[in-house]
Amino acid sequence: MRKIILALVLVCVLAPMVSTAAADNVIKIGAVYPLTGATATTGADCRTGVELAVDIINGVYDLDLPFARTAGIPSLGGAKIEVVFGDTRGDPTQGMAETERIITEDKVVAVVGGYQSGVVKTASMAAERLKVPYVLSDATSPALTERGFEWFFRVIPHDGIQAKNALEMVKDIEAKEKVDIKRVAVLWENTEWGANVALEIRKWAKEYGFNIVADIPYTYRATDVTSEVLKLKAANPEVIIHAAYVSDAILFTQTMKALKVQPKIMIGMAGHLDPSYLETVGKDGEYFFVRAVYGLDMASRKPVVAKINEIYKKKYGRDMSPNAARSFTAPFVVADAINRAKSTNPDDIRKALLETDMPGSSLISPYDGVRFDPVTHDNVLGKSLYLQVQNGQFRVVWPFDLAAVPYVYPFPAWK
Amino acid sequence: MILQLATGGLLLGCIYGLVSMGLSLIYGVMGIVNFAHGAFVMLAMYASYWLSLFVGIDPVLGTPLVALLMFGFGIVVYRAIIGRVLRGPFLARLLVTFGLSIFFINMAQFLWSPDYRMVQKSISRGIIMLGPVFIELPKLVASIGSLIVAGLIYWFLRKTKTGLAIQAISIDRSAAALMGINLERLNAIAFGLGLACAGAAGALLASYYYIFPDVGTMFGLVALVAVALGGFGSTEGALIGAILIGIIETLGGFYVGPEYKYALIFLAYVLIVIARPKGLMGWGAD
Amino acid sequence: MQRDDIRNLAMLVAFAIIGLLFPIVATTRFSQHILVMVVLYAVLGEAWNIMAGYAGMVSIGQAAFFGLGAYVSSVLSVKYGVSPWLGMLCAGLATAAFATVIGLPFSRLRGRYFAIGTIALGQMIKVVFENWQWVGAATGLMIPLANQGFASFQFHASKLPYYYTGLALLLLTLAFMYIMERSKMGYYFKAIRENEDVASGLGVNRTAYKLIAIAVSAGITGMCGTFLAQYSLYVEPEYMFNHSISVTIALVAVFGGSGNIIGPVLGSAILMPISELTRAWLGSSGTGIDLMIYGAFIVLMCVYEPEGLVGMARRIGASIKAQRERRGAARCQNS
Repeated sequence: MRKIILALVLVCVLAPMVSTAAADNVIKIGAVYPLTGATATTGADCRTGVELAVDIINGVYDLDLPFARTAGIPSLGGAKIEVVFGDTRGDPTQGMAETERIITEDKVVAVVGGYQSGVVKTASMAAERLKVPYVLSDATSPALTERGFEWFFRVIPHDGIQAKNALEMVKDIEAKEKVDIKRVAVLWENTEWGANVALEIRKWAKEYGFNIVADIPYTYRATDVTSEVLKLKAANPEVIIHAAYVSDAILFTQTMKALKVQPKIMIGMAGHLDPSYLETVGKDGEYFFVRAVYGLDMASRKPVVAKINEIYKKKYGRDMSPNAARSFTAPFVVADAINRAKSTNPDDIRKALLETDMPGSSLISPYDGVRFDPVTHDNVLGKSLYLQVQNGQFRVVWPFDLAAVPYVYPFPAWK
Repeated sequence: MILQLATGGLLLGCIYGLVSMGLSLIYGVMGIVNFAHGAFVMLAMYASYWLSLFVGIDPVLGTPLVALLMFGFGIVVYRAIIGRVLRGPFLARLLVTFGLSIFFINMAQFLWSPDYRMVQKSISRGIIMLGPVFIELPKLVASIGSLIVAGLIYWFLRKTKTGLAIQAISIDRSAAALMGINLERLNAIAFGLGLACAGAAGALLASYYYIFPDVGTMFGLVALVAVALGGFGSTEGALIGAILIGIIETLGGFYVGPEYKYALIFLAYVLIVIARPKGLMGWGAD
Repeated sequence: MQRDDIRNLAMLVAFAIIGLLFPIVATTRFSQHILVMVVLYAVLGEAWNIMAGYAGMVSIGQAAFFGLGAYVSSVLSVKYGVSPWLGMLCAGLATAAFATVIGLPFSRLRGRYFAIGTIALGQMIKVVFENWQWVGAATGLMIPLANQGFASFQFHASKLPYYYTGLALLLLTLAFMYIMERSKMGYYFKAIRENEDVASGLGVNRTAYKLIAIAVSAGITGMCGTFLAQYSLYVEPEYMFNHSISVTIALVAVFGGSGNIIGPVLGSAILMPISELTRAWLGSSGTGIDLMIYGAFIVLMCVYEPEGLVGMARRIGASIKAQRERRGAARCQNS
């Protein structure tokens, strides 16, 4: 046994770093996600989105998406894209180290992914230092694009816009139902992301004339949330906006049911979108509004969404989740830039990214397209949707002109 | 409101107590702080989940079975690992359970994916109203289970020969060995029992709580504080410490602010052990 | 003793030379990152060693001091434009002062109660920073990118300057410990570790020496906090006060063998590359198998080499010596 340990030590220490030589016609891009740790389930979900996107770019599919009908990148002689995944473990240092590793060792020419805003901060810093473009389609903290980075681009609308949209939806429902809604509660997990959502909600609530009657931070690792929920109940809110990861979303939903918290509108963010959330809470998740940048029944307006979902289902055995769909977009934006740049030089790709102008029809997201602000590099055509859980499905209900089904109001009594 | 809060705190405390008692037992007998206890609770939750999914055994009714399984598992872990480390220096004893914890949590992810799971059917579902107070039935069942386990441990330690021998070990190892007590065997039994407690806790938690690889970590950490608060080596102390923590968490979370509730637990611990360096009911060497 | 001293000194010098030469092999950025992590955790492990290995106070809450140090220098540099180097010094002093104040009540606690008290401390201070708006609360602080160089303590092109900075910190810490081990203080620490009450009875002012151990350990740990803050240019409570930092520090020190100078360095030199390399090779599979190996490794080490790497080296050394003697004896007999 002792010899085995000794051998293990030696293998681990002395083993040379294996760096595989790149094949000629392969373009490597990197993707970093929390593949282990407390948010591993979401990381795995995001990963499927990236994998499928690259599959479609590389293969030949009869779909109305860019690069679908051709194999690989046309301007580079059909070069294939290969994704190198890195595991951030949800930790900023490791996120940075993995990003650096895949940039310098695997020679990726662009990086996508991240998921947690805190990790994206250091991961994108690594890309900035090494001068490689980082295209983000799945973390939403406004602080990320306020840094004035040159190499950092974000496709997804940030929390400021999403928070604004949440309250606009409430305004729209108010007008349609001819009711008066004033009392808003905001419930947020106390890390970088949740704190920023709460900040934006407060700002926009003031703007739209809502009263924040409860403002409750909590740790997402909590084992029990009785006191949080009773505090919420005591405030008697009409609207509850909840910025949560998955486990806390489940716990709050169950506890709100147990203690009969009965708002008129229930809005969830992020964690509520995870497939395992609905699987776990089952019927208790019904009629929650969930912010998203994807909905399956967008298919009524975009037939390609249904086709993609079919392929996804064949590959992974379940419907494409909004998280997977978020991550799906970034590889296309990168591929588009590489194709126009006709080069895999990171600086050329960056220049091409600045001139990105993808139409809304080339995406499975509800955005009007992708065009980056010259200063912040946020997508100026970004747009978010609100879905409502109806009969175990996420249905698009807002904005009204994109709605697939009418919304249900008010939030019915718990069963 | 205060009634509702106090009830919630009490129920939560009993559940923490269920996790803590096994930890306390293990510490009392072999002086090992089991940092992997949360991971063992997690394994028991999975066991309970699989039993309910494939065999159709209700998690609540399956509690004794899971406890038995974990007892066996505990003996195996003791024989393979803990028993050998016990002869080593203090720091290795401290470290080994960290390693076990990292190993089991990631083994769970490797074998069963990081997805969240939930037992879909359980006899203890629903809410009962007691005057103005809502009581969640599964938490009530788990709390009662916790008290039953406490009773069983109390009976076992005070009334059975093995139990008395175990107590003798926790008071003075070398004297007990001189009196002809077989340390190895009893250590293994005590470790098995500690894990059986974790098993019971896992099964009862599984009846209403979601399950994923990292689920036990926070329970383990709180239980650790509960055990230290109650005084290492005292199972009654562990239960009392846990109930105290449950109440502080719920009341403090409401009146001081939820963002501070875990800080309050830790603050309470620090203040209490500064005043009473061996916890509320602890004794013996540190 | 004399010969031992010379040998130890020689070993230290050899270490320094090996440390300085390492970058010749480590040419890629990722291998440089591993080297940086090795020296960082070696220093942290040594700081832990002062408190736990020598003075017998096992801490599983070093992240409290680490995060505090990271915040002190980051706040100073972001809000007041203070140089990170001065910030590092301030971080060391501030954490040492904080640790002295906290240490006063904590020095009453013993053994496990102390260990769990340090866990509690780490968690409490994290919550304080999560809710303290002035230091950015949960959002944390970003240190703005500046031109690289020693003036700004930021290096973009290569990680080697970070490595050398860490190495310097490590050598300073080792030198300090070398002196400490030979001073009265070192003996008093060990006396407290072996039996507090007896030490006190023999006239050692145990509270004072415990406080010194805590303060020195915390001060060094705080400076390491500044180091990581400058390395990642970002501080956030969830990140800097993370419990896993505390656990890793203890693991590194115990794994190498605590209570002697060389242990934590060896521990870090083995454990950090394993952690980083298994993640790099297996982590992207997302199955957790990398951490499974890491966990199993620690367990096996505890079972088969409970004295740590230093114990292992000693045993191997002893068996070689014994073999040589046996051979020598056999030769004598033959002749």
